[in-house]
Amino acid sequence: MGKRRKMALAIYVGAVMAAGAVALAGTIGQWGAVELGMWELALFIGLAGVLDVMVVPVAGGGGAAASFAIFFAGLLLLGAGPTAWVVALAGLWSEGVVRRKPLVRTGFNISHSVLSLMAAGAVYGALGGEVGRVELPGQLPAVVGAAVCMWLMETAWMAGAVALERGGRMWRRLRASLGPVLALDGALASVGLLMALLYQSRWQLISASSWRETLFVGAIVLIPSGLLYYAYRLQGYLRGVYVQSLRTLGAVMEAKLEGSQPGHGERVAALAAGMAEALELPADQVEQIRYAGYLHDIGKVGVPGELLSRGRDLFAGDPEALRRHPEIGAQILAPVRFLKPAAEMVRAHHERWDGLGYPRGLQAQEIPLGARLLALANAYAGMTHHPSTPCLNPQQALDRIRQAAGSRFDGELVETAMSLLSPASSPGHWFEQRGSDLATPSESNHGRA
Amino acid sequence: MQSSSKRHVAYMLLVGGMGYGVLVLLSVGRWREGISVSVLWEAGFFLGLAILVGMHPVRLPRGATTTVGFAVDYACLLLFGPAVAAWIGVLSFLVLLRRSPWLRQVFNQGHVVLAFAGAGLVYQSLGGEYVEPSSGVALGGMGVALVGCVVAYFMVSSLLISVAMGLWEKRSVMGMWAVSFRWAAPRYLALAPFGLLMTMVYQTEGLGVVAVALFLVPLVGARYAFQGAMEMLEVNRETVHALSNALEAYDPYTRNHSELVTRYGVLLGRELGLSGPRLEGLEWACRLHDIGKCRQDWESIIRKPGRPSDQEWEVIRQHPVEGSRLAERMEFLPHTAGEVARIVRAHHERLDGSGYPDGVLGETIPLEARILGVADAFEAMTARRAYQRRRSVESAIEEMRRCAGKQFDAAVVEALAGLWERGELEVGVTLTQEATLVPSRGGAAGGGGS
Repeated sequence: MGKRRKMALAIYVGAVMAAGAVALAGTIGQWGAVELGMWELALFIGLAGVLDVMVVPVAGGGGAAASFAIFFAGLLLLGAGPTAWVVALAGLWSEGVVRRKPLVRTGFNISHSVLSLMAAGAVYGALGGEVGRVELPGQLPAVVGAAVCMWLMETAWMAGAVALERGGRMWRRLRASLGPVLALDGALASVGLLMALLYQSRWQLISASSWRETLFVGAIVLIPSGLLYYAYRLQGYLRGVYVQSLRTLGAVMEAKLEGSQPGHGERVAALAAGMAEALELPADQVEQIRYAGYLHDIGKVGVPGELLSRGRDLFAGDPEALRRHPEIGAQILAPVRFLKPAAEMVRAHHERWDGLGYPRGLQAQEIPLGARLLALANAYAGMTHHPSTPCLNPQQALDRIRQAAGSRFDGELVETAMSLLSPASSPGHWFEQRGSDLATPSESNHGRA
Repeated sequence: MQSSSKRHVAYMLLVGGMGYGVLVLLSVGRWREGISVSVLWEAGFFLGLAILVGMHPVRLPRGATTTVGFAVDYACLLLFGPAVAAWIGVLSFLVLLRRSPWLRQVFNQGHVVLAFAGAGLVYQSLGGEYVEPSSGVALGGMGVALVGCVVAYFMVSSLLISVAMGLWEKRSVMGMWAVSFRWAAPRYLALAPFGLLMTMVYQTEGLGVVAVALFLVPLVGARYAFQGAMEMLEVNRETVHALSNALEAYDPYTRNHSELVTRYGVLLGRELGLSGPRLEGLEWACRLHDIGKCRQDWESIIRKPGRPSDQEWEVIRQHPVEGSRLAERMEFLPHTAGEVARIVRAHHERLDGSGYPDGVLGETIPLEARILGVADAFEAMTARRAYQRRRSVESAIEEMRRCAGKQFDAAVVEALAGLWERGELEVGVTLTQEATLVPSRGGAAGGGGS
């Protein structure tokens, strides 16, 4: 991370925390206006504590917590000021105690939630909403406005931090996260509104807190939010399982094929996906590029072994039978509809910018962007890690790639690759550092033999 | 439906007829008590809800689907009593099953009426009261009745369906019932609280429809997320299928091996009473059992004439271990994690302890691994390969019977023999399968295809 970006991140985090602290301190006076029974207080804090731990990871970085529901209910029933304290307590518990995040992170997360909440409270009031007396359909605009404000602001704080931490423009990060978070937060806002309505109707009529009502309202909030959390987590978990399957199968293939370099698929995937991220492509496209990286040589299972084991110069022509492997690879992946984009990239990963590549001799923009990235990554990984021919060091490899810009490779992409990979900008091959915490499956294969 | 037996048709008609009869009785009784227009409107709302929920099934692994309709059914019963609930069930089936054969429609309508009638009977006899909206009846204190009517609904519904399925598939009714019980009972138990909550939410003064709608939004969201998760699971299955086939396809010695072992293994597992996650785990283990053979020198070791050297023997002994390590890395479902790896590791163990890699004995070898061992050996013996004449299925089974108790589990071998004798075991691949299993090589060049 560059020094300037680090500085910007520190300033951003510091400013948000200071504003959050001021806002929180300013609400102390509002507590007097709130009348809460023991059961109600226990319900709010208990639900906030449980739901704040349920965090769903979000595309584009960061996460969204199920506690959105209870905070929104608090905003409608108690007002933004008192709810801000519930937010702070829940944050201290979930971030500080349960997840043991560093103090700064905990403080930052609490602060931005408090700020979003205060802003949403202001919107609610401005649109004619009354705290503790929600009435539909009259106050519907106020309710919806407050929910939209909370959703936008929460996502924006997160996108800002992620953009400063990992690079990329904040607007793109925000756009990538808004959609996925909308579905979740919309459903949670619905739970929060229901809680507020039930609470108003039952509690105030019965006019005494009782454990039965507490249990009922608790279940109404907890069960749907918990179910949402579970379904979203399952989806994310299975996505992870899928990536792991592809990596393992790619490694199995590498171990089986003569002349292949263990870890090649991993390297190509990390490099190509890294470049795709730097180009700020949409998250699902980056994923497909990663998948294609793991599997780009799968078609070599259909090529005789003696052709694969021969040491060869990367820039020399490939024998006819070997030239068929991109097509075979695409055919192997064809039955999996989900991998269609990746299969197209695999088919075209030996095409050249000048049209002299194979199998179809596509030219320039006709070649899918992912395939152009794969070609670059494949060449770089092949030159820096090769089993039989002597390896080039990164600088030499980059020099050779630069020579081939405009003929073999897309010139613009070469520039991207340069800025990412050249030893001058970050000598540590950041893509390898990032990959290193994921133990390369094929290495363990060979370690044993 | 043409092939259905006379008994099956008669049974379906009987259930339908009884259902319509009971519906008339219930309706007359309800009519005498008096029914207001507002209740009809509210019942109409729930009818719409039932149709909506029924049209959005939740997908389960392996292509099965289910709906959360029971939650709505339960709420209807508690709110309106059996007569109105039964009408809601019948009318919603009219819409939902409009494309099904008429016999199935009749049966389903009859069965839902009988289930509601049974549940209502149990509910009332246990002291339950129907809480018609704004009647002020609290549900608290009726715990026994609330549980009892769920059990009654489930028993009536699952028994009626099991008999129908038993007659249709000509299997024992109790067997069908045991399967459906294990599959459906947890679902009913999980959905009942949703129905109860929906009822209580609906009862709240002045909220009613709005509250139920708000309650449903997160459930719909969860349903879509869950759908996405199931799609991911299916994609994973397809991908592993395609890639593991490809890894074997171009080797004449292994071509289609895992594909066929998977088919035999799943058939055997089902025959021996495995289902659900265990069958799923067995299927994955079959598909991946040879994944540990991924070494560039594997071929030369295994095809070398003469006895393998100690070092080579060690490599051979290690392939289940290596395979289990790879399978572990591809953990699939929360409930099968680790299981698949355990099965792969033990698939070369023998009952008498002379197998490898661990040399464990008899019952300590997981049943799934014993099944996989039989399926693996059977495929190896009966395969049609370039280098080997195909052994007849009978002689393969004969050979395996000889080794039963020492190498193979006798019960598994007998299950295999039974499947073959009943004609339920299709051995080898057909031409159309061949075309889909092996990606075309796009030309004649390349290594030795068969």
